[in-house]
Parts: sequence; C-alpha cells; structure tokens
Amino acid sequence: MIITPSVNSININNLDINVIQKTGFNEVYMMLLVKCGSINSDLQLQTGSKVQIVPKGIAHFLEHIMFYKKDGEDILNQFASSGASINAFTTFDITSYTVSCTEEIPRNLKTLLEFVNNLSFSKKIIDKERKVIEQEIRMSTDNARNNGFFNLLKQFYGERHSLSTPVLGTISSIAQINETNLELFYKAYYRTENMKLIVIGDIEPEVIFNVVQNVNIHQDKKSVTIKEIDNKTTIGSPFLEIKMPISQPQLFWGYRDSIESLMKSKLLKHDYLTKVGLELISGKSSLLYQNLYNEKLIGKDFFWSYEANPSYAYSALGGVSKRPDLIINEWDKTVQKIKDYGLDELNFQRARYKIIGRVLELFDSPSKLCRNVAGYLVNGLDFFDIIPILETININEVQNRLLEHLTEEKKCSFIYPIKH
Amino acid sequence: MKQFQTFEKGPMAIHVLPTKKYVLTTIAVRVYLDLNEEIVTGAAMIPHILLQGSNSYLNNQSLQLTLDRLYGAKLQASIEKKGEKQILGLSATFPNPFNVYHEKSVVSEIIAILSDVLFTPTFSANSVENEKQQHFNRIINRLNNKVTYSLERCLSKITEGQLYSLPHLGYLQDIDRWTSKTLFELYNQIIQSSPLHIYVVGNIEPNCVVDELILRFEKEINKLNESNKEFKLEPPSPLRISEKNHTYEKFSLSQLLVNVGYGTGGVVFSSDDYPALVLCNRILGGFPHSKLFVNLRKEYGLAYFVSSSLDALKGIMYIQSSIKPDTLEKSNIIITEQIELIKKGVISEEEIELTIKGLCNIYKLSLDSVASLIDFHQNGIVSGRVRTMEEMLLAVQKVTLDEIISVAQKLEGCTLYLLGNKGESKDDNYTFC
Repeated sequence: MIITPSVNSININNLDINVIQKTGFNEVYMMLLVKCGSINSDLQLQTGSKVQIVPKGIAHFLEHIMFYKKDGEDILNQFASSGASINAFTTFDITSYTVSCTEEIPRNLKTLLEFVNNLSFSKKIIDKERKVIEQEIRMSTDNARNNGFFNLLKQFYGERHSLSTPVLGTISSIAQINETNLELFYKAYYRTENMKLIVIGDIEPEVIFNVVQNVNIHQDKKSVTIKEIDNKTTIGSPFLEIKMPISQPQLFWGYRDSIESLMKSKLLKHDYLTKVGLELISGKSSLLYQNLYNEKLIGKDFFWSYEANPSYAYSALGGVSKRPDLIINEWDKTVQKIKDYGLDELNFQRARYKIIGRVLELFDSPSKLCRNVAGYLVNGLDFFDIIPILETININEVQNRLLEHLTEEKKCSFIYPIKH
Repeated sequence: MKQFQTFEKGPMAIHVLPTKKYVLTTIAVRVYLDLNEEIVTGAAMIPHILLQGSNSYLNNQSLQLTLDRLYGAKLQASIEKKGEKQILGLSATFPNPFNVYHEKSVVSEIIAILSDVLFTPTFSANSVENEKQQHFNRIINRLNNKVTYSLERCLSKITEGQLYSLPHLGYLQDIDRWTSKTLFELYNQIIQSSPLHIYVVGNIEPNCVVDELILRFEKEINKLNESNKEFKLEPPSPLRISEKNHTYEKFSLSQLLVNVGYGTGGVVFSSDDYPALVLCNRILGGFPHSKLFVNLRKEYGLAYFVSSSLDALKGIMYIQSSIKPDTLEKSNIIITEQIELIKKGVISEEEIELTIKGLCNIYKLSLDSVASLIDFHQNGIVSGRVRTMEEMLLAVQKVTLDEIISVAQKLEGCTLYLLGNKGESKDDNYTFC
C-alpha cells in the first residue's frame, strides 16, 4: 500500500482548480497554466475581419510579454515584495506561470490570476523582448543536446511540423511576431476554460477557492477561430548527422508511436506500460546498459524517455559515446532478442518497482510534483492514477506494448565533434 | 523545524534529522580529504569504483538490482570541492518504510548496503580500468556545459597556485598513473585517516538508526583504523588578491560567456559579516530586482542571463553572463558600474527590503530540501562554524545599509575570463574592473 497526498478539485468561474496538500512544507507552489504551447503555431487565427498567421515561437514570446504591466513596468517586483518569485515556461503544449512563495499566499495568488488575465504591451516592449529572446535562442543553439533532440523530432515528424522547431522559435520566425498576432493569439488561448490552476503546499483548499471566487477576470467574449494550415507529419530520414564543437559524439534515437486512435482513458496506462518496458530493457540494471557501460561505450548520462500525449507520442534514448554506431548495433540485437524470447518476470518486477520509486520521488519536491501533475492534467489525465496502474500491470501487457512500439521505424540522430 | 542532532564516535559523526515531511528517506556519507595535487585524480575515482563491486555485490548490476527491488532506491556517488577539501560522497535515497510495505526494514537493508560498498570494495582490475575510462569521459564532458566550464576556469584563474585551484575531478593526464593496486592503497589510506560524516533525514527513529550505523560501521572502522588520530578539519584560508587580470579563450560559440571574479577581502562563511556579504551579492545579482538583471537585461536587453554568486568558503564573489560578442564593451561598463554603485551606497530602501524578503524566501525553501540542508551543514563543517538556515533567516533581516557598504568596499582584485568568440575588437586590454 502506497500512501500519497490528498487532492481537492473544484471548478470556480470556469477555472479548474486543484489543491494538493503537503503537510510540513514551507513552500507553496502555484501554477496557472494555459493550454497552448509551441505546437500551436503555423495556424490561421480569425476574429471578425482580422486574419493572422501565427509564426513559430509565438507562445513563448507571449509568455515574455505577459510580464509587463500597462505602465511598461514589469510584474516581478509585485511578487518580490513578499519574497515570492515568479517564473514561467513554455513547452510543446503548455504555457505556465508559476509562483513559489512562503508568505502572503492569497495576495500572491490574486496577483498571478490578474496578470495572466490582462494583456498590456507596446511596440517598444515587443522589440526589447525580441532582443532578449534572440539571446535565449543563441544560447540554446550552442547546446548540443538540444540540437540532437530536435533533430530526432524532425526525423519523427518532418521538417515543417511545429514539434520539430525549438519552443523558442527561430531568429527569423520571431522577427514576424508583432502586436496584432500576439493579441490574437492571446485572445484565442488565454481563456479561463482553457486554463488550470494547481496549488501545492501546506494550505487549506478553502483559502485558495476563496481567492479565485473574489478575483475579477474580464475576458473578451468575442471568439477567435483557429484553423490549422499545414502541420501534417511527413516522414523524415532514418539517419541524421551534424557536427558541433563538442568533446565526444552524442547520439539520440527513438521511435514514434502512431496513437491517433488511442482513447484518453487508456493513455496513462499506455504511457506507463511503455515506460516500464523501456526501463526493463535499457535502465541502469539492464543487460544492455551494463554491457555498454562495461565496454566503456556509455556513461552515467545515458538515458531513456517516453512522451505520450493525445496528439503525439515518441521515445528518445541517448547519451555521449565515442562509438554511436556500436551502440545502435547493440540496441538492435537487444530488440531482436525481445522479439525472439520475450521479457523475463524478475526483470519486469524490478523495473516496475523502480518506476514506482521514480514517481514517489516527485512527491518531495512541490515544483517537480506540480510540473508532472500539470503535464497530465492538461490532457485530462490524473497523475495520482499512475501508482494504482503500476500496482496492477502485468508482464504480458508490458511485452505487447513494447513490441508494438519497437516495430515502428527507428530514427537516429548523431552529433560528431569538430575542432574548436 | 528541528536541527540536525549530532552523535560522534571516533572518526565518525552522525547527523540525524527525524521528520515526517518526506516520502523518501536519505542516508548520505561524506568523507573529507585535504585537496592534494598528488591524489586528487585518484580520489575522485574512488566513490564510483565503490559501486562496481564489493563483498556481497559481485558487480554494479547485482547492486543495482538489489536497489531497484527496494522500490527504486538510489545510491549515487559524488565528488565535491568545498574550501580546500575534496569531499567524496555516497548518497542513498529510498521510499520511507511508512509509505511502502516491505518484508524487511528498508532502512536496515540500505545501511547494510552502504557498509558493504564502503568497507569491502573489491577494486577488481577490470572495473577499475572501466572506471578510469568513465572518469576520462566525466572530465572531458564538462567541456560540453560551457557555462560551468567557463566558471571553473575563472575560479581557478583567481586562485592560481593555491590548493583551491585544483579541479575537483582531477586531471586527465593523471588518470593513467593509477592502477587497481595503487587506487586500493589510496582507498585504504583515505578510509583510515579521514573524518566520516553521515547524514540521516526522514521518518526514522534516531536512536535505532544511530545504534545500527555505529554497530555496522564501527567494527569496520576499527578493523581498518589502528591509530587514535585527531579528526578535526582545518578551515580554509580566505583568498587575498590585489591584482587584476584578464583571460580570453577563443571557442566557437555564438554567444560570449563573461565571468568576473572578485575576492571578498577575507569575508567568509564563518565571518560575522557573512550575512552582509550575502545581501551585497544578492543586491548585485541573482534576483529579478537585482542591479545586474535590472540594467543588463531589462534596461539594455544585452543578456538573457546574468547572475552573481558567492563561494563563501574561500571568499570569492563571481558574476556570470552570456552576451552578444559585439556588446562586450558596453556590458563590461554596466557590470562594473553596478558594483561601484553598491560601494558608494547607492542602494534604495526598496532594493534592500526586496533582497531581504527574497533571501528569507530562499532560506525557507531550503528548509524543504534535504539536499540543501545537508549541503549547508557541510559548509559549516568545512568553515568551522556551523550555521543553520533559521539563524540566517534572522541574521539577514538585521543587516544595515552601512554594513552592506563596508562589506562591498572590501571587494578586491578582479579577474575577467571570457569564453567564446570575441570577434573584431578594437582593443584587447579593457580598462575593466
């Protein structure tokens, strides 16, 4: 029996609220998330006679702009006055605004709700933030891991797909961002029914509910129609190679699942069957990992990951290695062995226990717990269902899922060093 | 929140913090050595080798399988540098026995595992060769994170010729000097002569855990340890520098990484004016209302990230930023200006108030994190003055403007380290600092 914290959920004024109680913690971590991210780009937005095409990187750009108030000042000091810190991040499918604080919870929550529900900006602010985001993009293009990962996504979804472009956009795509498309994008997505509030900490849920009840949120009721232009998945090449100034080659590989037909209720189980399967064959206790480590081909940075979402799902594995080709060979042999002989019970149990441990670990960090709860919530899934699922799955289910996943086409993305 | 309770026994100090706050329990072992050029590389490999085979666990896989079955318990090796100490660590985190059902006590099993890997490692020739290669990779892969790499280079430049400048992982060229035999000898020497600190945090019975640790560890230590040595740590000598210098390392990057380091003029973790130094550093950088962020990012949009941090054990304050190469001159001027403003006391009441509130928030958050609690306590061990977060919470609230000015005026020397591509620059010798 595994004991996890209690959750209180309620909907007030169209906003879904989840309060998770963590007794004894000083930190109260609040997240207001908007269901939009980098996948919501290359879209045609229309309201009345206004039609705009939104460029890549717009969700992240808007996240920066949201921090400004009417007078051109930013919101940071309003939180700092009680020692709180405000942060924001944009992923493929979420823009979230988070506040970490230890005092004046109601006031901080009120400020958070009000500023995310008010857009005010000027051309001057947009141009200034464009400069800052350019620095951010340049910093991430110097990051090898980031490049390798997005190359893999390009191979899964094709060059033009919005998943294949970094969340920040590119220097040329953010050049097309202006007052009109920002405003339209804001109106299309920043609506309470498209937001969720999560609060984690040693706090009475009623305190949170009361604040939401009493905050005045004005929203433009005029609707914006969203039309996808061209975000079709195209097939990328199975191998992609680039060169960068790094010390040793890096490799990334994985498989894209086609899960369009997957029901929401089954997604969470699908997700964790795959995760247990990948841990079983490539986790730190697996034969594959131990052999590669003993052959000095990989280090402790070697990883596996799996992302499952109603509209996309893929696995990514990788790490640093002097011989990416040999790793792929060993991987192929491992996959063949599973196809021939199947999985074994002892290994299945240890992988299942290990994944339970990784989930439990999240409970000790309010911010990590919140990010995970959010990632599932936005797709209508409940993070707290994971442990009961893990307690009931069996080896046959994992084996079937893993074999289904591994029959997809494998994609490999390599980065080789150049002299610097 | 309670403090660590300390139990001492010979070279061993056990720091226990019973709390029901966490789902996971932590047991962390820390071994303190004096930084020493001769052994720094060999010592850095030891924690990793310990996990590659011991009396009860033939190899890493059998150890890992045992851990996985304990609900994914984690056992991690670490190497840190604090002041002039190299600290070898093993940290175990595992689900609290009150959260999961298990036939035996998970705590007892973990203590048994720790004792086994710590006192009966095998150092097989094969696994040592393997770990040497892994250590080689560990060192060269640090180059992949340019931000931490450039900081390390800057700090070792400031402390050139001193023990502190030794890299905590050691040197690439020294790895092959070590064999399984010499490493085993080094291991024996370390385990026999070094202070051993053990942290236990979680939902545990302090007396039971302490008794069990002493029972398990003491007989092993006695077996190894013949001499009745003093296990007191010497605090580090504070950095004193006066000269200014400037290093540029060309590297193919689209951004230029700027690192600037100052000596704190002898103010360190154990000093009475340490809280004032903490405030001074945070007024300069690290908060969104700090002078560097407000000017470099918000006012001029020259950098996405800019920070100011302290190594208070040695007495260094350092600033890091990543800028567009052609804005180096302007960025330099802005950075230097902010420090001058603090020295002159051009600090508003609001800046002080926001910084104090922000710091209080940080200390309270650190009270939630087991890793931060252990790290902060270790600073106390190394500096010779154990401080608690609660004490810091009160201390920073009492700091006055005059104290901030006086601590800022002690800042001395200045080392500029640039990594990236500076491009065409008119003058290589900036009038910087």
